[in-house]
Amino acid sequence: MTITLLFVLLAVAFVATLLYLARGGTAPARRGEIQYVDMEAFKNLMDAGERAYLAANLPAKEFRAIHRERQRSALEYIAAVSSNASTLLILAQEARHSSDPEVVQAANTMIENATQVRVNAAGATFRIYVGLVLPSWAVLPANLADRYERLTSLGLRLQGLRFRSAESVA
Amino acid sequence: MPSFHRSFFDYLWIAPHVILIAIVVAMFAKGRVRRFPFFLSYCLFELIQFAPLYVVSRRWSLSSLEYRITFLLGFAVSITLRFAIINEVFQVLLKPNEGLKRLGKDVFRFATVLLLGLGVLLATLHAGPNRFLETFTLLDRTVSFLQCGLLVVILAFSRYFTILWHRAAFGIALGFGLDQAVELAISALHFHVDKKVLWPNLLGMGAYHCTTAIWLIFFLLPERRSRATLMSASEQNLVAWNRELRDVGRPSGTSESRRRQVL
Repeated sequence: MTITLLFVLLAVAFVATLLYLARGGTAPARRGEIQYVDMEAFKNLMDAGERAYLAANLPAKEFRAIHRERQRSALEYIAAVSSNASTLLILAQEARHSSDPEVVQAANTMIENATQVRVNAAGATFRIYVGLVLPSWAVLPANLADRYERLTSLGLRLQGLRFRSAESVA
Repeated sequence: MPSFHRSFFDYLWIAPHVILIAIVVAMFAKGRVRRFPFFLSYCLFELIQFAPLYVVSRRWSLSSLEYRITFLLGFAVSITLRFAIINEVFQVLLKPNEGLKRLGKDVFRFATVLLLGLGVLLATLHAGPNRFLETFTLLDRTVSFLQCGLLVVILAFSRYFTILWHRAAFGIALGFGLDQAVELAISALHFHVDKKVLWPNLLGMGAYHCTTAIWLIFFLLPERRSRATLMSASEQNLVAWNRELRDVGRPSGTSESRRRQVL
């Protein structure tokens, strides 16, 4: 009977999950919002050299407290970066249907970059959480900030192209 | 079986197949045959299978050997086609997203192995008598669990990467997911409910009826690639991104300095 109950609950959970995933949702990306990311601070948080410097120059107790604070801030930044990448993914997928081949090409490049940022962001988040238990895992991917910076440039370029394309049609 | 129950049973058996005919017609009319060949094969197979099963059940009884053999053969083909459709939906989803194809395939394979392992593990926990019907129900339950899990993984994957769905593909996934979830619960309950009790069968048939209706609705809706809020190219977007880039390199630091901007 326990197994039967387990499967019935599983079935209910499956239905609830399917319906939750199927609805539009209210995440910032779906509302078309972007969040401001201070790149200098973000790069600093992701920098392994900075972490090593703090570890070498601070007392162990103070370093642990600061490191925890930095990890918490990094999580917030990564969430914002990931959300912005998601917004740009939606934008790029829409732009891919443009009649302007230049816009389509820029959109495809942006999709690849935004996807990579989402993957890296998920990996970085995972590493931070695992790093709480296994500190050696806490090394964050240094290229996430660079990839995001490139993505924002692509986003700007794509919007510029679309704006130009819309103006030429008008 | 009382005549009302018989009529209701017949309705729930026949109606989904009438809807399947409408789906096949809609697929040809809207040119979706090439995009969903396995789904079309599934619809045609269900229609072809329906006729002999219905005749056998009318001439003999639902527990007759002929019915069971026909049903089991159909069940085996149906399972194979369902897995092919899930894969087909995922391929349609990934097709325009080259960058996600490899990752998507890896995630799909990993999820299949993991769910299969879990399904087999849960199946071994069942300590019922190893009769033919029990074995079949156990297999049905494991397959439903696996298919439901895969559909959840596909939907979660698409949501994480904000992939915009084709409406028909979305309808197929949603319909199958709901149907398999109900099937999972029913196949689990089969071990504890008297075989003569009708409601589990009626519930399963009702769920399948809803599933075919969902498919038809999504096939009839005009194709629109997005369910999400889409943004249009506007000057406001440009201003926001210009600001974002201009601020790169400007030191400030804490999360409080981040502010939300509407594109």
